[in-house]
Amino acid sequence: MAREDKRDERPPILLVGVANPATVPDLMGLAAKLSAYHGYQVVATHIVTVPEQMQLSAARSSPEVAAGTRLLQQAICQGAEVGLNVRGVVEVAREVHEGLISAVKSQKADLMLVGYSAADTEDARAQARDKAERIFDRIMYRVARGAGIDLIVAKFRRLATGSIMVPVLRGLNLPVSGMVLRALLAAGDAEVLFVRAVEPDADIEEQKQDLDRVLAEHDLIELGDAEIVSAPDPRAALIERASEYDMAIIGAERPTIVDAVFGNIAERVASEASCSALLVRAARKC
Amino acid sequence: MSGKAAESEGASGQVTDGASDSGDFSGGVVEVELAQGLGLAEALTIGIGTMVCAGIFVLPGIVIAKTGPGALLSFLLGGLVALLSAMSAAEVATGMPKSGGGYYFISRAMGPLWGAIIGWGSWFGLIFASAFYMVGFGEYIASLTGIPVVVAALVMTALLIVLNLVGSQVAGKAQNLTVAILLGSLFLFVGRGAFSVDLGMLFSQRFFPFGIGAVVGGTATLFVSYCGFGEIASMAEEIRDPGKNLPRALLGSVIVVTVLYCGIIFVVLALRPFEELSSSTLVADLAGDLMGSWGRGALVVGAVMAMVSSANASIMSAARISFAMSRDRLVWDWLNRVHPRFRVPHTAILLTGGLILGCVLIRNIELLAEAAGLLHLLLYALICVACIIMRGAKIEAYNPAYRVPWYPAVPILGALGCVGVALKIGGTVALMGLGLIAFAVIHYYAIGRKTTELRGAWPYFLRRGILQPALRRVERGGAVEDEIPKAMLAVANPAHEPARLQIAAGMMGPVQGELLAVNVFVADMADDPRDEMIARYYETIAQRNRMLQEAADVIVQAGARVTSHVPVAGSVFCGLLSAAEASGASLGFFGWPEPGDGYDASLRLLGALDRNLRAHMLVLHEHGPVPARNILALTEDSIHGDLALLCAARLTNTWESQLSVASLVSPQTTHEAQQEAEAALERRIGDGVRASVRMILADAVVEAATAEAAFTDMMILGAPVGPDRDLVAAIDALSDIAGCSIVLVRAYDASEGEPA
Repeated sequence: MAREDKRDERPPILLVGVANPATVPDLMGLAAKLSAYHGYQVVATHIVTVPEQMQLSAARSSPEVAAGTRLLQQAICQGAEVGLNVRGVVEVAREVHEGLISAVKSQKADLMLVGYSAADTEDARAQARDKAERIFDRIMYRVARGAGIDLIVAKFRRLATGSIMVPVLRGLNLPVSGMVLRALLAAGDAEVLFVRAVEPDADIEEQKQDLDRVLAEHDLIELGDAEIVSAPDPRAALIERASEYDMAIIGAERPTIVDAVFGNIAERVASEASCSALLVRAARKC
Repeated sequence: MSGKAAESEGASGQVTDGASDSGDFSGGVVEVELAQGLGLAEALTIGIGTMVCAGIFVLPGIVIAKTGPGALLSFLLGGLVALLSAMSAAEVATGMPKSGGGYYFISRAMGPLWGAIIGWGSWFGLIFASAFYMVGFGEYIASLTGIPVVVAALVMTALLIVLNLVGSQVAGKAQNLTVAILLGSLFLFVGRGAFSVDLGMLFSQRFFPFGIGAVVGGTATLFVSYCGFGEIASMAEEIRDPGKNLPRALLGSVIVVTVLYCGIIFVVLALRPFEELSSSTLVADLAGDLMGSWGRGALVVGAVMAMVSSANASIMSAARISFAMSRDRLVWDWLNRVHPRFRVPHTAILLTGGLILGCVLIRNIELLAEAAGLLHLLLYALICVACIIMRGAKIEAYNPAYRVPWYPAVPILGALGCVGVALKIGGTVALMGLGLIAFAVIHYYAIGRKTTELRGAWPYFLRRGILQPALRRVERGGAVEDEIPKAMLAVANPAHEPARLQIAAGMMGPVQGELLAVNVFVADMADDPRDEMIARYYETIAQRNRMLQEAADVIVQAGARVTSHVPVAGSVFCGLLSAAEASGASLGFFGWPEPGDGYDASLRLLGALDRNLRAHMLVLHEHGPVPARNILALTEDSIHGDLALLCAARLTNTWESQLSVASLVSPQTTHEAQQEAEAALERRIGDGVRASVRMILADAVVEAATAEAAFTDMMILGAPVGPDRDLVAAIDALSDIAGCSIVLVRAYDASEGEPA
């Protein structure tokens, strides 16, 4: 990848989007693991939006920027607690995606990590099932398109990462999944399962061979077991299976029209399963 | 990686402002950045979208009726005047890429009075323009549906006000689509019309049936059609790579629009004899003749969308201007209120909206167009003047990426062009314009002058561009430079030293260099256990950052630019010295030692800095009111005296204080010798500084200062003042003086390579 060349010249930059104090410790914890294994320098960013009826610079003295500064100072302190040297950037923009893209460009970031922090109760998960709630939402797809970097949206539910499930379909996002997985494994032992869910009429052996091939292409085959799950409703099977693990790392795909009705697999796992979820998306060539 | 921040000196705890270089990674820093989300295409869209609106749909008929076929020249002249103004706007916008547009440039160049005039002028210009767009919208809706013009205009205006009040960006988002439809349909009209023109008919008519003067009058009427490029400048801080994109967008949009307008007018004039071209829906009617009902429909849809989009952009701009004026304390504070839920300046929007509704009721489209045009012509003329002032003021911070060619001919021609066209607007509109200017001046002297802290660059222009340099360096190649690009301010506790922060801000001024507020984290590398030191660092860093932010707020409110820094060092001395060296500060502000336990330690610190700091030093003792109403500079013929003069002149300029400059003469000196000394002092000051000059009969500076303290708010002395020429001794000797603030200055002579 082109980013490999950049890394020869300077340490890679991990941009951590910070919006909610509740997710900051978990984000910094994950950032610390990524940084320890891959050598990222960490920049925390908070986006303050300003309506077009006001100048952007008018926000400099606004309560929102002051609150953002405090939040970033919290992130800096909590980063320090887990051994991270963090820099903070309050990005003032017209819209959230514009601010995130601008932060990526100004910081020359290689990877972005943001948290998702909606209420997470059993009821909320039931509502998510009804509403096809979006975690990797339109904003993140706009950022993915506009910034052209690897993205991770994290939904933290459990502290432990002793067991990790990685659903694999085509493997487009496996470079990012693999990078995260290696960092997590370097920080502590974990049981890893690469899984593909198929309908009962699919050829299991053929699917298993294809899964192994995809994993081998990304040098991931040694990191865990691979399994094909056959079920009448592969989505439901994946969600049920994910709840047995501490964390799921799933590639985020742009929702199709069918997904809009029935829910995208990644979104449903992240919304409905009881494990922590990392929705990852590798940079695409525009 | 734990502890890296504490180990690397100067790497932690900053609260800074502006873009960062990610190559120089320093953790612990919080920066504030403005997203630059607009590229060249978006900036061009804003300019073209705001310009191509009601003007080209409503005004051609009116202008042709006034000028005949000479209307083509009217549009060309309007484009030329706009282009010359846009060139000046491009220079000042790249030199000061801040949002606020013309109001910002003019107030920073020409001072608060002109800022107030142009602020009110721009605000009302946009109000008139919005009303013009809305009445134009009403005309088109009336021609389609029969709904009365005023009703349609009022309803749409009210809708736009509500949309702006709730912070909706729907209308703004539609601008790209609007511009695409509009440009497509207009270029299609020109292209299709080119095949149907009757050149013989066009050239058989008299080109100037109403004389050349009518052509300029026509330009005055239609100039509102060019009142959009300023929008680009007003979004300057949001434009990526403004050095390149701002001039390209400003000049490009004016050129595209001028070509388009001239193309349309040429086709219109070549289709029918000019006597038949006076309808207010002329372009749409001709499109119907040329392209049938779908052609007319496309143009009408484009025109209606354009008018709504332009009116919306004008309402947003007007709200931004009134909000910016309120932040500069040039208008009432209540305009500065931001709605807690929708986070928009709702009072500014409501007032602007109310005034637009009132103007819509005027309904006279020509009057509204001319009023908007007149105020924009005034704005553009003053932008040209601002360009001349900013270039001539030779301010280091002003370094535009784009420079107007053939300076000063282009800005002078631009200003003259704007004024020449504006002079053709007479009658009611001229009276309205003059009334607004008079109101702005009265309002400024009644309210704004007492509250604003805004200062312009024009004194520097007068001094450096026209009058002899007032604060020139001393003849012997002295060390005191007139420019101070960076100064350091040691901050211990902003709550206890607001006066010092204001003095430092006053010294730097609004358009000069930048202050670096510094608070040192002392890490005893030898004795402190490493883990405890790191823990202490992180325990205190948030509080230090908050403290520096408080200081920065005071400084920014006082009108100067500031960044802050928490260096990590083994001692306060090392921290201050390294911060000054690293930042390249040419001036340091320090507090006077407080009486008590820390007095001796503070004196020792200042003594060490006096011996080692390679920058000018100002030691501030706050006792009198700040800003000081009157300032006494007690100078001697030395580089320290020159620096004292420079500081006094700057503070006087910023605060508009009374300045007295005095030198000491021995009581035994003869009267002739005293007169000679006074004349020499006047020569040193030069003509550019307004100050009263006098001699003080005293043998020692301390004696004179003690006597003068009761009669002045602030005294600025060139140190060293004692017989042993020692800064510490001077501080010690002056410590007992009460009743006025004392600024003790110690100049650093860079040519000698060590502190003077």
